[in-house]
Amino acid sequence: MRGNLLELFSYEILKSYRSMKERMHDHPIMTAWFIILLITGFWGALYLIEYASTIENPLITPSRGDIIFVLFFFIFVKSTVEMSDNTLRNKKLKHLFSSPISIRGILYVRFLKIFWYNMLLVALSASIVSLLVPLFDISLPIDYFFFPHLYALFLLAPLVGTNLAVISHLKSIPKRLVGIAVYGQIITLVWRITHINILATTFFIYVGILTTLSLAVLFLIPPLFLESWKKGVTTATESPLRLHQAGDFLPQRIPKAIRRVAEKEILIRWRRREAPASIGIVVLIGVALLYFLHLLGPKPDLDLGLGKYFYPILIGMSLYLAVVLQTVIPSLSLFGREGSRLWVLKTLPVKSTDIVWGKTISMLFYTPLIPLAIAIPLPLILGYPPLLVLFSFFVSVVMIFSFTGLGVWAGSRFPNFNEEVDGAPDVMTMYTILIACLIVGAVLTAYPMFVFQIDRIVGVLTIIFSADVSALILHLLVDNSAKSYESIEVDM
Amino acid sequence: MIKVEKLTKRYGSFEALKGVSFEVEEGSVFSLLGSNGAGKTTLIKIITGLLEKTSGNAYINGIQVGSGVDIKRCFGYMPEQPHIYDRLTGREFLEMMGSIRGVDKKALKDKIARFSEVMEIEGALDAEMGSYSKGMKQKVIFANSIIPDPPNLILDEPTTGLDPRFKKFMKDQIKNQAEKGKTVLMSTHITSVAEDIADVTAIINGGRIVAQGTPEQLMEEHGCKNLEGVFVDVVNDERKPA
Repeated sequence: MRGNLLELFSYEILKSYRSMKERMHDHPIMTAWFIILLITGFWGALYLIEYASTIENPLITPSRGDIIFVLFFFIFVKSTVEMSDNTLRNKKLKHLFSSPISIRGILYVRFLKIFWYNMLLVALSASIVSLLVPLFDISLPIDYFFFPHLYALFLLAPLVGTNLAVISHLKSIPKRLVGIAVYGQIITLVWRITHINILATTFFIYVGILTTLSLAVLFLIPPLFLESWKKGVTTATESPLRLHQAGDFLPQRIPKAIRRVAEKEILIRWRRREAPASIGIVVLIGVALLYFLHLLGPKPDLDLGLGKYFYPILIGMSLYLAVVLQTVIPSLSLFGREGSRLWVLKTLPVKSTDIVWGKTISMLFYTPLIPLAIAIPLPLILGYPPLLVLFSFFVSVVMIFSFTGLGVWAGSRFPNFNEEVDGAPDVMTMYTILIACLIVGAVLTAYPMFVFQIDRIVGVLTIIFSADVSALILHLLVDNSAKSYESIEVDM
Repeated sequence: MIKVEKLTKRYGSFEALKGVSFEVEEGSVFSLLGSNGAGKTTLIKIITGLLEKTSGNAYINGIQVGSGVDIKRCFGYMPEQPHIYDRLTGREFLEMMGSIRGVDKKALKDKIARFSEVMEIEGALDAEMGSYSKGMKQKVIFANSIIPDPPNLILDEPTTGLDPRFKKFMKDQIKNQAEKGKTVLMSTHITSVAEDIADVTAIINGGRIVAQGTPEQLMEEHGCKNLEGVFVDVVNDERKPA
């Protein structure tokens, strides 16, 4: 049995390695660009931490505990998403369930795979950080015990992620809620132990207890694993919303073919619960902004003259995050997710541009919520002048158009037809596009912001011009995406 | 009418199609008979525009394949595997596709009602297709290919995976469509299906058409009682070292 599991584990690793090698071989420029961006991204993050640690405000200056907890949380979320997407919603796993391997064994191999890749990621990150810190003489708010603390949590994070993913996919809602409510407390405990002043040995004992507890849960959870997988791969027989009942919900002035493609996408995303989730995230970001306001007050007392720009920067970062989560990441799997169903669109008598526009409209469908939840409320509450509120609104428009364009372009240019990950983009494409969005967003908003400082009316006119430019970028990128879409061969 | 001229498809050094040529007459059923990996699906995917050809040409109703949108109005397509949107109901899928293909709203509703009754899927039409069996999905896809009433039908292994009752129904439907004047190009690896409904059968092996004619002609030429015998005979001949 152990031999079977090891063989399965080696096969999983080999499969991922081959897939990564193939992508690197197919897109060498993208790979090189990814490496440059990765290192630049690390440098940027380290610089930001160094900068933030110089601000003497206990509310926003990151402590060692904050950094450790954020890294733990990142690995935990990554593990949860990987377990959910690659295992619990992976229909191909039926081949494993029907093979002479125990359910427990399958779960452990999937966990080990997540753990293995997390370790690789940690090793890679640690190498880059070790290289950059002395090279740029970066001073980080960490001490001698930082890395032992961090490593202690790196077994716990994928364990918690795996267990919570299984629990949150259970068919029985009461079991799911009780499981999340009880086991989810472990995250609160990790936050607590990373933030209280205790001896390193006590910290390790606490982490040891939590890890043992999580290992026990992982040992007990296999009977629930199959239930979660079945729930994850089964679709409902009754539709919560039927198109023929709902009628045409997009304006009639949109050409019929584009409208139909967009409606199909919107409906599918809604039924897969992706749209409600992304709406929830945008609302949550809006609420988090209000929480910051409540915590720090309208004029936070920050050094280095940051106080004046604190909320504009926060709004800008929140807009970036909201647009990325709501349109860019879904756009990256625009065609990859179609996978072997792509024949449906490809054999339709519809121009490629119309297909891509249909999909783009579906991505833009929920975006009006972004200015409504983020760009407008906080400036209004802060009592900013109307022109500044208007400026903030147009910044969100700039980001929505230009970022969506980039997402759609990458989704058509580099589709990932791996059905095991449901067409999700590979890390290289995703990271490169996220950085590209950051650069494009900065380029399109920096000059209007500068002008706005000198003359508000001209500043607003400049950001409106930027919004026009971003609409043009979207248009050009959609046209270019149509060419990429045309060249996709359905050979699955 | 479907016409294929010296069509080739290469994947690196591997040649999946080696200069295939044939013509399908209006109102006839043309079957491409071949074993797995013979090149049937590749050929059909090139004709439907899902794959790029390496060289040669293919025409549907005189329009060159890969030349734009109009050619896609000339055919209905049924793929080998019924990959379809799990989160849409059968009715939504048929309405959406029919509407894009320009079928009038009322006519579309009537056709969907009629086809779903004939295909015995009316009870499941408002359930999401993720809950359908493979056979039910195939029925929906077949309905999707004929509802817009295109002049040509291109069907990739249309009877594979169907129960005997529906297989018979499908064969009758295909013959019926040809009798109505439609041109039907289908691939199959089941010799009896080709024997039962094809006017012309082409045996494809290793990316080449190695025999072509009416089932009767082929049986006579090879002195076999059925197409299975012809197929085995032809493929075995091909495998003999020169």
